[in-house]
Amino acid sequence: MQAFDPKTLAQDPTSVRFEPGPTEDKLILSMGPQHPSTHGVLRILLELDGEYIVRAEPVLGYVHRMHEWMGQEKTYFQFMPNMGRVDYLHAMAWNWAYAGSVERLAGIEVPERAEYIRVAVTELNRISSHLLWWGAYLLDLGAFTPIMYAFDDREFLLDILQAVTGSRLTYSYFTFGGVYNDVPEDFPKRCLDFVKLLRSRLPMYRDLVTDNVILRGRCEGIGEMDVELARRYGATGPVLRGSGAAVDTRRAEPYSVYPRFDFPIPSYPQGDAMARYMVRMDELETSCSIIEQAVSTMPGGPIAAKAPKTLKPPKGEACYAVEGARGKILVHVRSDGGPKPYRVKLRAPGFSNLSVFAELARGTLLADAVSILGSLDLVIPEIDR
Amino acid sequence: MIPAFVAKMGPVCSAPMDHATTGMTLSITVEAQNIVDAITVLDAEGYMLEDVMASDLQEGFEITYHFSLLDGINRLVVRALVPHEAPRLPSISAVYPGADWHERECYDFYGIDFAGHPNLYNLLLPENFGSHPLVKPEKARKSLADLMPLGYLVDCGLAEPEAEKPKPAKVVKAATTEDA
Repeated sequence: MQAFDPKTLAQDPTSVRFEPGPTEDKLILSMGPQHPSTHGVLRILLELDGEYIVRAEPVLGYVHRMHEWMGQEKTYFQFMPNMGRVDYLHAMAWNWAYAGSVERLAGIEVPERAEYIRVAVTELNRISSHLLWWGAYLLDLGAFTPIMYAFDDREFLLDILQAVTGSRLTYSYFTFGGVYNDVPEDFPKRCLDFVKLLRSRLPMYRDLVTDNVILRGRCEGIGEMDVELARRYGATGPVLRGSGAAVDTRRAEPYSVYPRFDFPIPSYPQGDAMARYMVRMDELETSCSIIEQAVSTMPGGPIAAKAPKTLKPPKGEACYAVEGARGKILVHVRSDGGPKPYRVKLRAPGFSNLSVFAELARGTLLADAVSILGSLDLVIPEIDR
Repeated sequence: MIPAFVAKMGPVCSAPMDHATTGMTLSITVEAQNIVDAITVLDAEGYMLEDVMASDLQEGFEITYHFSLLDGINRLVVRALVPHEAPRLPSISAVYPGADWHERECYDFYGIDFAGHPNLYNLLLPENFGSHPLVKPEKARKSLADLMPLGYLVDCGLAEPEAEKPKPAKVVKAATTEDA
């Protein structure tokens, strides 16, 4: 981190309005965009009084790629690969949100087997996202080893998804009316093996990390928020569930075949960073359970409905909400009846979750701000779009 | 069904929508200058602001606010239309602080001026970008009649139910809602 001279700051266009406060010992600190805890591409302007944060303002746009413009310029099918690049850690959920909204618009029915495959791969992807968050968060807090364990487990998962989709990170597996390829024959077995493996590792993670007194000291009572604050900022996902509201889009606004599965919705009332941590750790188990149910009851049949090669949905609009690893993903598509969408709007959960940060960080120690930032589970490409 | 609080929002028109085909349950159009009053009603009802989306239409910029309660299928959209010349409407960030960034994004992409916004600077684009990338050229703009299904247009008084005979199912549905 580098302390900025106010004079240099004044020449920086994004910082003109962020002038130092009235007292001499106020310090303006530009955290990021290269700071490790900002994961590469987020910059936060901080006004510090000693070690305490007086004001925080995230500066976005370092990986802005204008996906919404691309959506208007490409045909419906051509825009699909973009979805793997909005949130590269939970690409399947974005695939789903876009495919779902276009299916609603065009009235395409998805065959049952495709729905089960979608559920299985999305939950696998959610586990890989949570594992990476877990490793990276602990890395932010100064524990180096857990990320090695997390990546070790994640490797098995990526192998399974690679066999299904052909890629390891930026999946573009969904198509309108189903999925591109059928899963390999050993897919159910590999999923069940992985679930077994992860279940044998989770108690170790709990003993080594979750119950660790240093981690608890860094997380408990840090960055507390209640449901009302989450509602006013539109924070969703584990951030909302960590504030005590057991709300999950998979239950609240059921889509696909989720109503057929039996799974709990973990929530913790404390509202601090530890509660958000616990929600995600519990969700690893929840996803395991959904995967088990999905692969063991997966029906046969076609994997995709017959959608026309050049899709021209009737005029109208549709949105589709999906529970991503970071919260509620909402894709709104408007059609004028032509081959390209008239407007595509992507609602990124991380965008709303990060907007709470300024409120949470006010008055905390700088080191705690890093903990809060990590507990929000930010994926900057998704926020910048 | 249209809930009772909608009347308090001072709607220009309200149209029920089918969740199975649109993902929304209700669309409420309000006058742009009344947007804060309308949204205060939703805040009191416990709605969460999901998103703010702007679209470039022939009639002007349409700003669409997505709301839903925390739980359940109840997404509703509030729409307001502002002209292309000097697009300006009040900011709702005093009611929903989460709207702050969404409005800055609309300012980035469309140049819409949110009056009373505490911090209306570029969010995603650099400050010297110089244009608003999602503003469509005059020829590419479509009107509401080209973008919305007939049922919605009838509910909003933009089309006659009998105007398009070839789609009897939708016309019948629209006519019954008008009677009610």
